[in-house]
Amino acid sequence: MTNSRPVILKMENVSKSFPTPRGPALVLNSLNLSIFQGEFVAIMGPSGSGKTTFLNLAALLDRPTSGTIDFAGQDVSLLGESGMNMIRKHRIGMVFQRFCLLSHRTVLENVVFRFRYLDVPRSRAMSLAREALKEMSLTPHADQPARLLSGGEMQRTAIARAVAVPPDLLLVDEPTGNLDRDSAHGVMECFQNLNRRGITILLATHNPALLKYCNRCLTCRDGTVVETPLTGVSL
Amino acid sequence: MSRMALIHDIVESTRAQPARAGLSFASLSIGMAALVSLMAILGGVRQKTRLMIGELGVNVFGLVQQPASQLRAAHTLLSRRHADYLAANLPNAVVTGFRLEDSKSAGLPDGAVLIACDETLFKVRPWKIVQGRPFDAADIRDQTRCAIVSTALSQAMNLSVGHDISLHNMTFRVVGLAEIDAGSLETGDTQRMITPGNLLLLVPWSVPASWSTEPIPATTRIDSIFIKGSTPAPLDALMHRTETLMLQPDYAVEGLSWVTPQSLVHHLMQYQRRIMLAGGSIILLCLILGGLTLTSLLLTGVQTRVPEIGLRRALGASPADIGTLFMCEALLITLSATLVGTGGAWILLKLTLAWLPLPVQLGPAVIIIPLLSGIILGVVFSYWPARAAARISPSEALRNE
Repeated sequence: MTNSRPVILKMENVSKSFPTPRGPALVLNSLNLSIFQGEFVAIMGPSGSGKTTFLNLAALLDRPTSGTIDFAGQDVSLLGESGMNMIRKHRIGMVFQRFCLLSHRTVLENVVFRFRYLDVPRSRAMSLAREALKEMSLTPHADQPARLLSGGEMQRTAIARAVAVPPDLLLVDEPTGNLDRDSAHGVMECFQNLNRRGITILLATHNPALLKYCNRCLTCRDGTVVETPLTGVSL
Repeated sequence: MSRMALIHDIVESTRAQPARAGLSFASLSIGMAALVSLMAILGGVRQKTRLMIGELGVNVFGLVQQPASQLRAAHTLLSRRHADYLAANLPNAVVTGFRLEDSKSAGLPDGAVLIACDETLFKVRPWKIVQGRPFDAADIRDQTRCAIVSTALSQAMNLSVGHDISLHNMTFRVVGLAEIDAGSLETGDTQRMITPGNLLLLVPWSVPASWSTEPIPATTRIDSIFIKGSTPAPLDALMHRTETLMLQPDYAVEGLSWVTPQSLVHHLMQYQRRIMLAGGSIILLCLILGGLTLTSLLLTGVQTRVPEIGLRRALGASPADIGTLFMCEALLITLSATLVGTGGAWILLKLTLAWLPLPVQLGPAVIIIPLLSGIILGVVFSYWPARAAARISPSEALRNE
């Protein structure tokens, strides 16, 4: 596949295995792919196919067993823990299936939490968090404890947290898995809007209905990731 | 933002598990309160011993007899006869003897101590006449109704030199004021001879035996004899000579305690050992229990907060940040428990100081040592959970999400 846009994430011969009592289990095998800036890529595949492992590698939360990962032209295998932390802090956003909110804190505090490990003054963090909440239409819920929100609102809070510091790459793991159809649609529209603003999104899902929001699809199967036409997905 | 955020995180995390945090907090508070009490008592015992050594005087030792009720035979009572005998046979020493009188029946206020003494008392004990004069031989011989008052008692009773005071319906003229700052830590008869407190009234020994002008026999009982060597040489030779004299058949007495600086230190060491063994083991148990509850709190916290740990790592926290968070949470609990326990024990000790049967000293060490113990406890008991939390792989943590 050719693309004139800069590459944000590039994997070359990336393999990942996990130790088991019966020897290493290979989850990803010799992956070669590039994600370009501004893309909205869906990673499809059944449970256990390696989607989450792939996302963890992309999020620099894990290291490959072999192969190299470049993030915006930088070989992350050469970086130490702190270098990877720096990229995660400033350039990567993550949204999880079960939201991962701090339930006893307010919605605003959950979004401000994005700045917890960043050197940003509290007042600036508050203002950016409020902006992110406004974008997600959550301003009226700002001072409400997160546990009192509906599923859709929780996921939008999680998105607001992820984009309060605009990321170069937004990684999203099964964002609609716990939502009803309407809420899922609302959440996916949020992602679409963010993508239109230039944020690259990598979405792991096994729901083909979400493909209509994406502009590229990769399928995980038997340890490999293959390019799949958006219309030709079957799980 | 990070320091404030850390404090916010710590408070929020502690609030999220109030029962466990409260249990750990309570155990540690009790342990710390007990530690403060133990330290205050040990400090009090040390202070009391220092006071007793100081009050005993330089180059001075004492002979103190048990109360008469505890002796087998009346003829073995320590008496004026012994003091005179020792004074006559110890040419290089000054000898004094005194007796504690019943101050209540004499009409003195609570806490005041009435002492019947001779004219050499102020030459042996390190008490100073600041106004007026000490007793002289004529006062003793003539059974003069005169008195010396400590400055503290003179202020309490509004007395000064030349004033009269009534004891057993006899009028005594105050002839001197003495500076006696012996504190009021006494708990037993032996100690009362050395540190009788600072509310003292002294009268010639020849008067109170019968509270009359009748001649006083030399066999009149006294409670203690103090002997001061005239040179700063070691007291051993003088003590040995005194011992030999007191073993003479006519002068042998039973139930005699030898009070020397060494015996006071020995007494202190014994006392400290007993307190340390009894109190220390209970305190250690309390603190270990509190520490283990804290470890359990943190380990449960690590288990239940795995997704939060994953989130923090995803947001850029390093393993050290995660470990620090858990360690700081532990420190918040141990330090707040230390402050509450220490403060509570301090206030309680201050309020009950007058009724406590043990000497107590509340100094800076009573604050500093529990505070350091709190920090050490926090670090030691949170090390393992903090390490476990820091070692959780972020990808594993988020898988649990």
